[in-house]
Amino acid sequence: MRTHKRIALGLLGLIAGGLAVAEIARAVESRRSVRDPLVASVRIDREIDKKLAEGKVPASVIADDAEFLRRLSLDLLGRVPSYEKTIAFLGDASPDKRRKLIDEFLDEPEFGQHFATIWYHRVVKPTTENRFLISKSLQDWLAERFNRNEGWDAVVREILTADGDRDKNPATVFFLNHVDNKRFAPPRAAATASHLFLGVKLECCECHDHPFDSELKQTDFWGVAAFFNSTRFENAGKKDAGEPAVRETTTPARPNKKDKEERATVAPFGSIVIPDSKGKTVKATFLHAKQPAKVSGTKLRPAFAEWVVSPTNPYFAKATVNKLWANFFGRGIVNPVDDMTANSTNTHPELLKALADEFVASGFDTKHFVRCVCNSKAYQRTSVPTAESKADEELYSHMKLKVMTADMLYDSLGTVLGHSIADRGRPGAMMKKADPKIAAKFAAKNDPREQFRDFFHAEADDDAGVIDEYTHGIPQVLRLMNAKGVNDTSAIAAKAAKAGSRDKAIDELYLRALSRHATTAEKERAAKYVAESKTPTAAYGDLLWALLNSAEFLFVH
Amino acid sequence: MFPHTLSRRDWLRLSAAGALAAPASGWLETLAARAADLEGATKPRHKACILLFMTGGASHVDTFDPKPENKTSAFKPIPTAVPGIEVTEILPKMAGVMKECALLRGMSTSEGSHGRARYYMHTGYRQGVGGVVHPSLGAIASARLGRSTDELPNFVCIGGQSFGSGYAGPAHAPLEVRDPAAGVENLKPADSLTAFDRRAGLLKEIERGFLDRMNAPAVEAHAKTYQRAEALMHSAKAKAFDIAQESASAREHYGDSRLGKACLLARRLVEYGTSFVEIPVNGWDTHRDNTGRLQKLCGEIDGPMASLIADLKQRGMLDTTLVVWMGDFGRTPHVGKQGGRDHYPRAWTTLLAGAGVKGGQAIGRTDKAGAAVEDRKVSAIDFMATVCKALDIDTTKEFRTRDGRPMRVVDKGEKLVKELF
Repeated sequence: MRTHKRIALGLLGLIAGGLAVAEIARAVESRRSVRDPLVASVRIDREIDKKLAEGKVPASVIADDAEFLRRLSLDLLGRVPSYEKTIAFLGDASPDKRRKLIDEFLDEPEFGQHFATIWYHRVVKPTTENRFLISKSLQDWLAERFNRNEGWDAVVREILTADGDRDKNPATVFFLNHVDNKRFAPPRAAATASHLFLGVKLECCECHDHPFDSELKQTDFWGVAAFFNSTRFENAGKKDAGEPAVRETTTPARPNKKDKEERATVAPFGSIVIPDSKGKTVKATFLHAKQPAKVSGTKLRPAFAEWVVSPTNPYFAKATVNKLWANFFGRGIVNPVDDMTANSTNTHPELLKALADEFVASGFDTKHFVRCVCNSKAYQRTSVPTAESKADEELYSHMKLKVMTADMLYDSLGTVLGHSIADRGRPGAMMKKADPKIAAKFAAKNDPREQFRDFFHAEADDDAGVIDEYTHGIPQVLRLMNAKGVNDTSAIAAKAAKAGSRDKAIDELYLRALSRHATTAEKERAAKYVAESKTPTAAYGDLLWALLNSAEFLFVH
Repeated sequence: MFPHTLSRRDWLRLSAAGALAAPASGWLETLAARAADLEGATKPRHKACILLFMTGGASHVDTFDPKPENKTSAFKPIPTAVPGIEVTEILPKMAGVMKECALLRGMSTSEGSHGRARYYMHTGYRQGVGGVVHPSLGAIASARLGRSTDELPNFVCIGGQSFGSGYAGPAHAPLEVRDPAAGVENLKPADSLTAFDRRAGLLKEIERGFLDRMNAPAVEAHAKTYQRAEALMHSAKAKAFDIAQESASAREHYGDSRLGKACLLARRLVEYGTSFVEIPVNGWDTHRDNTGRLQKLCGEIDGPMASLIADLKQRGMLDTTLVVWMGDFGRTPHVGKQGGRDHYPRAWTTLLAGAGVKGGQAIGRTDKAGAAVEDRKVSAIDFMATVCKALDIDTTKEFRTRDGRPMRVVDKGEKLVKELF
């Protein structure tokens, strides 16, 4: 009864957000119709194999169970598999165990958390200016939606129409992130919305027409930005003001009286003035539309959101599947992933279309899409190239190597070492201040994971959620090798020492760190090291240290 | 030119192919370094820079642009070693080295919030515009001046955080030294170097199989970065980070304060070949108690900074080392109700010394209150271009963003402060 009420209220909310009843019904209905992911997997392989044949590039063999397990765990849960899971999976003889593993991981709460981490960092770029406005609550909010498998259209609609207090609606963080001189910055939000959700990097058109894409004009950028120009912040001016909030209003922005330039930028509802343009005004216009959007009522963002998530939007589904694809394959079908303009390279146009169609038909079902991809042979190929396919980067003859993101590395080290990494705290002078709110912010900053992320994160991760180049410098490597909190292997070494024999202990360490058995040669090499060491336990600690610092550990392969 | 059209990925590939002595960094520099070796030691070493960044933004009227007619400043002007140039009484030691220094009193920058202003002053670009992350000055210097063959990192930040390397790539990100007296973090192994070498040997052997199987540039880059880090652990040059190696008199010269140690460490690092050292100094956001805070802050920087300039001069390093003093912006010429000054990018002062910059001059002038620039306005872009010029960095040469867009080191429209050269 209560649940029904909540659904009804939710539906009402959606209707108020501008969605027609028939469309909700259709979306819900299509979600109910069971689509077989394996059909789409076959389609993926057909397209991939066709291009491989055309390019005369041989495909590598399918990865063995250990390689598959580790890859899937990192891609879906954001960490290496546990020792116990590794033993169980490698020992499982059932023929459909890979398909079952995909389903099992998709049901883990860590799946939603991992995907939320990827999207949170794509959305939010912490800066000194927005530090009192943004909040990690958006990450939990996203995780919840990924885990209950909310349609991506619904999630994006909620984000783009987010209104109200931050503590009541974490989706408002999307907007609070875009601040300029304590005010909401419509052009920044427009740029983010368009490259994240539409795969079009409009930023290039902020100051001039697009240099490479003749179809994109400066007015395209400002036409999208105009949809955000009636949005304001509340309580954003001071760090100790009330809870920050986001609201749409028909009242024109109040300019800073002291600033002459700013006074010239006041535009009527539904439009925006291009800065430094002598007052050139642009009306809210959907991308590439010839005419301004027809806007009725008092809000602009719902109209924009409906246009974005519509099944007929030419960008939305393609941009989303391209980004999701890149999470698994280390590159998009179109690259760069957030700039799918006419001049970008599209290696598999038919595949992209098929995937986008599948995504729309499934009701923008993320978990379904993951099943389609992960059950394909293309995803399950080994990352070891053949002599003929070494140079192949875009035909998917073998799985591309990715570097673990900082979050993956943190959680993987934690999984192997059995503890969270107690990195050194850095309490600032601000901590001494009595204000509990500020103290809380700085406590968050002193959170070991946050610190680890600060230190190890790569820009590529924030943009695409994928790192395809090695990014660590000397400071990172020194920390991985020498920081006590990071590389204390003694507890696990002691466990391994109880394995029963030297060989078993060595094998256990390989299983724990690399999720695979040690080869005979590896066992022999390690055994020699153990024999030359003072105590076996110390030697096992050294071996685990070496495994955790090896390329095989750091890469997703 | 061909080399500059290479992406970082290409660099990595070249590096993996053995064309480079070190990964993820400019092979051009490597070649240049080799060429320099061949030409012998007659050529001067490349330029270097030490940036003292006053985080929060320092009041210009209370420091290097005294305004006797502006009664809000509690500090009297005093003469300096250069007739006609005055500074306030809380910078007596800097007054003594003014012959080496050039003051830019016409700074006018237009970003008034801390984060954005700091980004602007570090990169020369407005934050967020174009959707890319721009490299900070230190990363630019590392990429354009640093030698990748060197065991020492080319961009070091002491006692705080700087801005990163953006599209210049992570190889040019700053190595952060939190405590100048403690040196580089994690440089020493958890146990002993002998024990470390033994397990590092094991690491090399056991990962060989993976490296061979994958045969990928990223994997090779991983192995090479480990080699560089291990080399630094063993390097005699690592002692560049150890100020305890300095004589007692040198340490006394800089003083026992944290900033004194940071300046001494900066000089040592530059001596050993580091291209860029940044020292952030916190506390300049003087919205309250401006007078008391300025007195304390200037007391902290005056001695170490003057000692640094004098020491560089005495060692013959000042000709090739640029010392920069700057901050987020200036501060209001008036004092508010809370007894402090607020943010003020319209008119403020920076200081440059060394690297061929003509010292003993004050360029630009503000009005009687210090509120507006009356002569020789210098924008953030002009300033960046001028600093680059002093360091022999070609500002028109482009970086490539990750998606291949060409970006000039300094944005177009720059006007050099020609009087300095």
